[in-house]
Amino acid sequence: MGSFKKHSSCKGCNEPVSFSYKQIEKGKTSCYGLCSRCPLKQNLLDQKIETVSCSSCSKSLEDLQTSGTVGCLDCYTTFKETCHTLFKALNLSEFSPLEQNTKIDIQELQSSLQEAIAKELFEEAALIRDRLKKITTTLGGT
Amino acid sequence: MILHFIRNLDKIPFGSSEAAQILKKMLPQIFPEGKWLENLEEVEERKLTKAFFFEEHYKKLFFDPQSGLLLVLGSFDHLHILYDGPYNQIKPLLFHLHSIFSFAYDSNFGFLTTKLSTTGTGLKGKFFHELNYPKLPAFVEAIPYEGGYLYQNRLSIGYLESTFIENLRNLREMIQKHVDEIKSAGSLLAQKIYDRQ
Repeated sequence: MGSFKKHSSCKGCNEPVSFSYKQIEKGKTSCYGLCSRCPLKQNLLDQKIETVSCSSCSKSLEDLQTSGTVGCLDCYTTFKETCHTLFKALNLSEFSPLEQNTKIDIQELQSSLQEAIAKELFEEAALIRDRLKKITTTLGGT
Repeated sequence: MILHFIRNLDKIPFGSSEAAQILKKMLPQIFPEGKWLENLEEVEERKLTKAFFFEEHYKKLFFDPQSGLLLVLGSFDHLHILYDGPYNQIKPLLFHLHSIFSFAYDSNFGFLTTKLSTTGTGLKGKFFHELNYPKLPAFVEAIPYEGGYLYQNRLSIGYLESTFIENLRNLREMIQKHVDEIKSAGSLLAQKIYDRQ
Protein backbone atom coordinates (compact mmCIF):
# COMPACT_ATOMS: atom_id res chain seq x y z
CA MET A 1 0.00 0.00 0.00
CA GLY A 2 2.28 2.77 -1.22
CA SER A 3 4.69 4.24 1.27
CA PHE A 4 2.69 3.10 4.31
CA LYS A 5 4.58 0.89 6.76
CA LYS A 6 3.00 -0.92 9.65
CA HIS A 7 4.26 0.44 12.98
CA SER A 8 4.03 -1.68 16.10
CA SER A 9 4.91 0.99 18.67
CA CYS A 10 4.00 4.65 19.08
CA LYS A 11 6.56 7.18 17.82
CA GLY A 12 6.10 9.35 20.90
CA CYS A 13 5.84 6.93 23.82
CA ASN A 14 6.36 3.34 22.57
CA GLU A 15 2.80 2.29 23.51
CA PRO A 16 0.92 -0.07 21.10
CA VAL A 17 -0.14 1.75 17.94
CA SER A 18 -3.80 2.79 17.53
CA PHE A 19 -3.57 4.54 14.19
CA SER A 20 -1.18 5.86 11.56
CA TYR A 21 -0.50 9.37 10.34
CA LYS A 22 0.62 10.16 6.86
CA GLN A 23 2.23 13.56 6.60
CA ILE A 24 3.14 15.26 3.36
CA GLU A 25 5.48 18.18 3.75
CA LYS A 26 7.26 19.87 0.85
CA GLY A 27 6.55 16.83 -1.30
CA LYS A 28 8.13 14.48 1.26
CA THR A 29 5.89 11.80 2.79
CA SER A 30 6.39 10.61 6.37
CA CYS A 31 4.42 7.96 8.23
CA TYR A 32 3.97 7.71 12.00
CA GLY A 33 2.42 5.08 14.22
CA LEU A 34 0.79 6.67 17.28
CA CYS A 35 -1.15 5.54 20.33
CA SER A 36 -4.48 7.17 21.16
CA ARG A 37 -3.23 9.21 24.15
CA CYS A 38 0.14 10.33 22.90
CA PRO A 39 0.92 14.04 23.43
CA LEU A 40 2.68 13.94 20.08
CA LYS A 41 -0.73 13.33 18.48
CA GLN A 42 -1.90 16.83 19.40
CA ASN A 43 1.29 18.36 18.02
CA LEU A 44 0.80 16.52 14.77
CA LEU A 45 -2.87 17.48 14.64
CA ASP A 46 -1.85 21.13 14.81
CA GLN A 47 0.20 20.59 11.67
CA LYS A 48 -1.15 19.83 8.21
CA ILE A 49 -2.24 16.21 8.40
CA GLU A 50 -3.55 14.65 5.23
CA THR A 51 -5.44 11.68 6.60
CA VAL A 52 -6.02 9.30 9.51
CA SER A 53 -5.66 5.68 8.52
CA CYS A 54 -5.83 2.17 9.88
CA SER A 55 -2.37 1.05 10.98
CA SER A 56 -2.84 -2.44 9.54
CA CYS A 57 -4.22 -1.81 6.06
CA SER A 58 -3.83 1.99 5.66
CA LYS A 59 -7.54 2.41 4.87
CA SER A 60 -8.42 6.07 5.46
CA LEU A 61 -11.40 7.38 7.35
CA GLU A 62 -12.59 9.26 4.29
CA ASP A 63 -12.44 6.04 2.27
CA LEU A 64 -14.51 4.22 4.86
CA GLN A 65 -17.14 6.94 4.89
CA THR A 66 -17.49 7.06 1.11
CA SER A 67 -17.28 3.36 0.28
CA GLY A 68 -18.95 1.88 3.37
CA THR A 69 -16.39 -0.92 3.39
CA VAL A 70 -13.55 -1.66 5.79
CA GLY A 71 -10.09 -2.84 4.76
CA CYS A 72 -9.37 -5.29 7.56
CA LEU A 73 -10.61 -6.49 10.94
CA ASP A 74 -8.49 -3.85 12.72
CA CYS A 75 -10.44 -1.08 10.96
CA TYR A 76 -13.35 -1.85 13.31
CA THR A 77 -11.12 -0.96 16.27
CA THR A 78 -9.48 2.04 14.61
CA PHE A 79 -12.73 3.56 13.34
CA LYS A 80 -14.99 2.29 16.12
CA GLU A 81 -16.69 5.66 16.72
CA THR A 82 -17.16 6.33 13.02
CA CYS A 83 -18.67 2.88 12.48
CA HIS A 84 -21.13 3.49 15.31
CA THR A 85 -22.08 6.87 13.84
CA LEU A 86 -22.49 5.40 10.36
CA PHE A 87 -24.66 2.57 11.64
CA LYS A 88 -26.84 4.96 13.56
CA ALA A 89 -27.21 7.25 10.57
CA LEU A 90 -27.97 4.42 8.15
CA ASN A 91 -30.37 2.59 10.39
CA LEU A 92 -32.37 5.75 11.10
CA SER A 93 -34.87 5.44 13.93
CA GLU A 94 -34.86 1.66 13.79
CA PHE A 95 -31.38 1.39 15.31
CA SER A 96 -31.29 -0.59 18.49
CA PRO A 97 -28.04 -1.30 20.35
CA LEU A 98 -26.65 -4.72 19.65
CA GLU A 99 -26.18 -5.45 23.36
CA GLN A 100 -29.94 -5.26 23.87
CA ASN A 101 -30.49 -7.72 21.07
CA THR A 102 -27.71 -9.94 22.35
CA LYS A 103 -29.64 -10.22 25.60
CA ILE A 104 -32.76 -11.23 23.65
CA ASP A 105 -30.55 -13.59 21.64
CA ILE A 106 -29.45 -15.25 24.89
CA GLN A 107 -33.08 -15.71 25.94
CA GLU A 108 -33.91 -17.20 22.56
CA LEU A 109 -30.92 -19.55 22.71
CA GLN A 110 -31.83 -20.62 26.24
CA SER A 111 -35.34 -21.54 25.17
CA SER A 112 -33.95 -23.38 22.10
CA LEU A 113 -31.62 -25.25 24.47
CA GLN A 114 -34.52 -26.32 26.69
CA GLU A 115 -36.48 -27.35 23.61
CA ALA A 116 -33.56 -29.41 22.25
CA ILE A 117 -33.09 -31.14 25.64
CA ALA A 118 -36.82 -31.89 25.87
CA LYS A 119 -36.71 -33.43 22.38
CA GLU A 120 -33.53 -35.32 23.38
CA LEU A 121 -31.55 -33.72 20.54
CA PHE A 122 -28.37 -33.71 22.60
CA GLU A 123 -25.97 -32.96 19.77
CA GLU A 124 -27.88 -29.81 18.85
CA ALA A 125 -28.21 -28.93 22.55
CA ALA A 126 -24.42 -29.13 22.95
CA LEU A 127 -23.93 -26.75 20.02
CA ILE A 128 -26.46 -24.27 21.43
CA ARG A 129 -24.77 -24.51 24.83
CA ASP A 130 -21.38 -23.73 23.25
CA ARG A 131 -22.79 -20.74 21.40
CA LEU A 132 -24.42 -19.47 24.61
CA LYS A 133 -21.12 -19.88 26.41
CA LYS A 134 -19.33 -17.92 23.68
CA ILE A 135 -21.82 -15.02 23.80
CA THR A 136 -21.87 -14.78 27.59
CA THR A 137 -18.06 -14.91 27.74
CA THR A 138 -17.83 -12.13 25.15
CA LEU A 139 -20.37 -10.02 27.04
CA GLY A 140 -18.61 -10.65 30.31
CA GLY A 141 -15.31 -9.55 28.80
CA THR A 142 -16.60 -6.11 27.80
CA MET B 1 -36.33 -15.71 -0.15
CA ILE B 2 -32.60 -16.06 -0.68
CA LEU B 3 -30.50 -15.82 2.45
CA HIS B 4 -26.83 -14.85 2.39
CA PHE B 5 -24.82 -15.52 5.52
CA ILE B 6 -21.48 -13.73 5.29
CA ARG B 7 -18.65 -14.87 7.52
CA ASN B 8 -14.92 -14.23 7.88
CA LEU B 9 -12.45 -16.43 9.67
CA ASP B 10 -11.14 -14.76 12.80
CA LYS B 11 -7.66 -13.19 12.76
CA ILE B 12 -7.22 -13.74 9.02
CA PRO B 13 -7.15 -10.61 6.81
CA PHE B 14 -9.95 -9.99 4.33
CA GLY B 15 -9.16 -11.21 0.83
CA SER B 16 -6.41 -13.51 2.13
CA SER B 17 -5.73 -16.79 0.30
CA GLU B 18 -5.04 -18.40 3.69
CA ALA B 19 -8.77 -18.42 4.49
CA ALA B 20 -9.60 -19.96 1.10
CA GLN B 21 -7.04 -22.71 1.71
CA ILE B 22 -8.52 -23.57 5.13
CA LEU B 23 -12.07 -23.60 3.75
CA LYS B 24 -11.07 -25.67 0.72
CA LYS B 25 -9.67 -28.30 3.05
CA MET B 26 -12.51 -28.23 5.61
CA LEU B 27 -15.71 -27.93 3.56
CA PRO B 28 -15.52 -31.41 1.93
CA GLN B 29 -15.03 -32.89 5.41
CA ILE B 30 -18.07 -31.06 6.81
CA PHE B 31 -20.26 -31.80 3.79
CA PRO B 32 -19.12 -35.25 2.56
CA GLU B 33 -21.70 -35.29 -0.23
CA GLY B 34 -20.82 -31.80 -1.40
CA LYS B 35 -18.66 -31.05 -4.41
CA TRP B 36 -16.60 -28.24 -5.84
CA LEU B 37 -18.20 -26.86 -8.96
CA GLU B 38 -15.02 -26.82 -10.98
CA ASN B 39 -16.03 -28.19 -14.33
CA LEU B 40 -18.91 -25.81 -14.90
CA GLU B 41 -18.91 -23.55 -17.91
CA GLU B 42 -18.65 -19.87 -17.06
CA VAL B 43 -22.21 -19.34 -18.28
CA GLU B 44 -23.52 -22.07 -15.98
CA GLU B 45 -21.61 -20.58 -13.05
CA ARG B 46 -23.14 -17.20 -13.72
CA LYS B 47 -26.61 -18.75 -14.01
CA LEU B 48 -26.16 -20.52 -10.69
CA THR B 49 -24.93 -17.49 -8.79
CA LYS B 50 -27.60 -15.33 -10.41
CA ALA B 51 -30.26 -17.71 -9.09
CA PHE B 52 -29.04 -16.75 -5.63
CA PHE B 53 -28.79 -13.05 -6.58
CA PHE B 54 -25.06 -13.22 -5.97
CA GLU B 55 -23.36 -10.42 -7.87
CA GLU B 56 -19.87 -10.27 -6.42
CA HIS B 57 -16.57 -11.73 -7.55
CA TYR B 58 -15.80 -15.11 -6.14
CA LYS B 59 -12.97 -17.62 -6.08
CA LYS B 60 -14.69 -20.97 -5.77
CA LEU B 61 -18.15 -22.54 -5.50
CA PHE B 62 -19.06 -25.53 -3.36
CA PHE B 63 -22.50 -27.11 -3.47
CA ASP B 64 -24.02 -29.49 -0.94
CA PRO B 65 -26.99 -31.28 -2.57
CA GLN B 66 -28.24 -32.66 0.75
CA SER B 67 -28.85 -29.29 2.38
CA GLY B 68 -29.12 -27.22 -0.81
CA LEU B 69 -26.40 -24.88 0.41
CA LEU B 70 -24.18 -23.06 -2.03
CA LEU B 71 -20.96 -22.03 -0.32
CA VAL B 72 -19.00 -19.32 -2.06
CA LEU B 73 -15.41 -18.48 -1.28
CA GLY B 74 -15.52 -14.77 -1.87
CA SER B 75 -12.72 -12.54 -3.02
CA PHE B 76 -13.33 -10.00 -0.22
CA ASP B 77 -15.30 -11.78 2.49
CA HIS B 78 -14.05 -15.29 3.17
CA LEU B 79 -17.31 -17.20 3.02
CA HIS B 80 -20.83 -16.60 1.70
CA ILE B 81 -23.37 -19.23 2.63
CA LEU B 82 -26.26 -18.97 0.17
CA TYR B 83 -29.56 -20.64 0.88
CA ASP B 84 -33.00 -20.67 -0.65
CA GLY B 85 -35.39 -22.03 1.95
CA PRO B 86 -36.80 -21.70 5.47
CA TYR B 87 -34.47 -20.27 8.10
CA ASN B 88 -35.31 -23.00 10.64
CA GLN B 89 -33.92 -25.63 8.31
CA ILE B 90 -30.56 -23.91 7.91
CA LYS B 91 -30.25 -22.99 11.61
CA PRO B 92 -28.78 -26.33 12.86
CA LEU B 93 -26.25 -26.28 10.00
CA LEU B 94 -25.20 -22.76 10.91
CA PHE B 95 -24.75 -23.81 14.53
CA HIS B 96 -22.63 -26.68 13.27
CA LEU B 97 -20.42 -24.37 11.18
CA HIS B 98 -20.06 -22.01 14.15
CA SER B 99 -18.87 -24.88 16.30
CA ILE B 100 -16.17 -25.77 13.76
CA PHE B 101 -14.90 -22.38 12.62
CA SER B 102 -14.02 -19.37 14.68
CA PHE B 103 -15.63 -16.50 12.79
CA ALA B 104 -14.66 -12.86 13.25
CA TYR B 105 -17.05 -11.51 15.89
CA ASP B 106 -17.08 -8.34 17.96
CA SER B 107 -19.27 -7.80 21.01
CA ASN B 108 -20.14 -4.27 19.82
CA PHE B 109 -20.75 -4.95 16.17
CA GLY B 110 -21.54 -8.67 15.79
CA PHE B 111 -20.12 -10.62 12.83
CA LEU B 112 -17.49 -8.54 11.05
CA THR B 113 -17.62 -8.25 7.27
CA THR B 114 -15.97 -6.02 4.68
CA LYS B 115 -19.21 -4.14 4.02
CA LEU B 116 -20.70 -2.20 6.89
CA SER B 117 -24.15 -3.02 5.50
CA THR B 118 -23.73 -6.70 6.37
CA THR B 119 -21.85 -6.34 9.66
CA GLY B 120 -24.00 -7.46 12.59
CA THR B 121 -25.94 -10.61 11.83
CA GLY B 122 -23.79 -10.99 8.71
CA LEU B 123 -27.04 -11.63 6.93
CA LYS B 124 -28.41 -10.38 3.65
CA GLY B 125 -31.98 -11.32 2.73
CA LYS B 126 -33.04 -10.87 -0.90
CA PHE B 127 -36.22 -11.38 -2.87
CA PHE B 128 -37.44 -10.33 -6.29
CA HIS B 129 -40.76 -8.71 -7.13
CA GLU B 130 -42.08 -6.95 -10.22
CA LEU B 131 -43.69 -4.19 -8.19
CA ASN B 132 -41.90 -1.12 -6.89
CA TYR B 133 -43.61 -0.90 -3.51
CA PRO B 134 -44.06 2.74 -2.47
CA LYS B 135 -44.09 2.40 1.34
CA LEU B 136 -40.79 0.67 2.05
CA PRO B 137 -39.57 0.52 5.65
CA ALA B 138 -36.20 2.18 6.29
CA PHE B 139 -34.23 -1.03 6.69
CA VAL B 140 -34.99 -2.23 3.14
CA GLU B 141 -33.97 -0.97 -0.28
CA ALA B 142 -35.39 -1.86 -3.69
CA ILE B 143 -32.88 -2.03 -6.52
CA PRO B 144 -34.08 -2.14 -10.17
CA TYR B 145 -33.35 -5.67 -11.38
CA GLU B 146 -34.33 -7.34 -14.65
CA GLY B 147 -37.83 -6.00 -15.19
CA GLY B 148 -38.59 -5.74 -11.50
CA TYR B 149 -36.98 -4.93 -8.19
CA LEU B 150 -34.60 -6.73 -5.93
CA TYR B 151 -35.54 -6.10 -2.32
CA GLN B 152 -32.75 -6.41 0.21
CA ASN B 153 -31.84 -5.13 3.66
CA ARG B 154 -29.74 -1.98 3.93
CA LEU B 155 -28.23 -2.93 7.28
CA SER B 156 -28.06 -6.01 9.43
CA ILE B 157 -26.71 -4.62 12.71
CA GLY B 158 -29.04 -4.42 15.67
CA TYR B 159 -31.38 -7.15 14.46
CA LEU B 160 -31.90 -10.76 15.43
CA GLU B 161 -31.61 -13.22 12.57
CA SER B 162 -35.12 -14.56 13.15
CA THR B 163 -36.76 -11.12 13.55
CA PHE B 164 -34.90 -9.86 10.56
CA ILE B 165 -36.07 -12.69 8.28
CA GLU B 166 -39.60 -12.41 9.65
CA ASN B 167 -39.63 -8.69 8.78
CA LEU B 168 -38.50 -9.37 5.22
CA ARG B 169 -41.01 -12.17 4.80
CA ASN B 170 -43.83 -9.94 6.07
CA LEU B 171 -42.76 -7.27 3.62
CA ARG B 172 -42.85 -9.73 0.72
CA GLU B 173 -46.34 -10.87 1.75
CA MET B 174 -47.46 -7.25 2.07
CA ILE B 175 -46.24 -6.46 -1.45
CA GLN B 176 -48.02 -9.51 -2.84
CA LYS B 177 -51.21 -8.54 -0.99
CA HIS B 178 -50.90 -5.05 -2.45
CA VAL B 179 -50.60 -6.53 -5.96
CA ASP B 180 -53.64 -8.77 -5.38
CA GLU B 181 -55.67 -5.79 -4.13
CA ILE B 182 -54.72 -3.76 -7.22
CA LYS B 183 -55.68 -6.70 -9.46
CA SER B 184 -59.03 -7.27 -7.74
CA ALA B 185 -59.80 -3.51 -7.75
CA GLY B 186 -58.94 -3.49 -11.46
CA SER B 187 -61.23 -6.40 -12.25
CA LEU B 188 -64.07 -4.89 -10.16
CA LEU B 189 -63.72 -1.65 -12.08
CA ALA B 190 -63.70 -3.56 -15.36
CA GLN B 191 -66.84 -5.46 -14.28
CA LYS B 192 -68.64 -2.17 -13.41
CA ILE B 193 -67.74 -0.65 -16.78
CA TYR B 194 -68.90 -3.84 -18.51
CA ASP B 195 -72.24 -3.84 -16.53
CA ARG B 196 -72.87 -0.19 -17.46
CA GLN B 197 -72.43 -0.98 -21.11
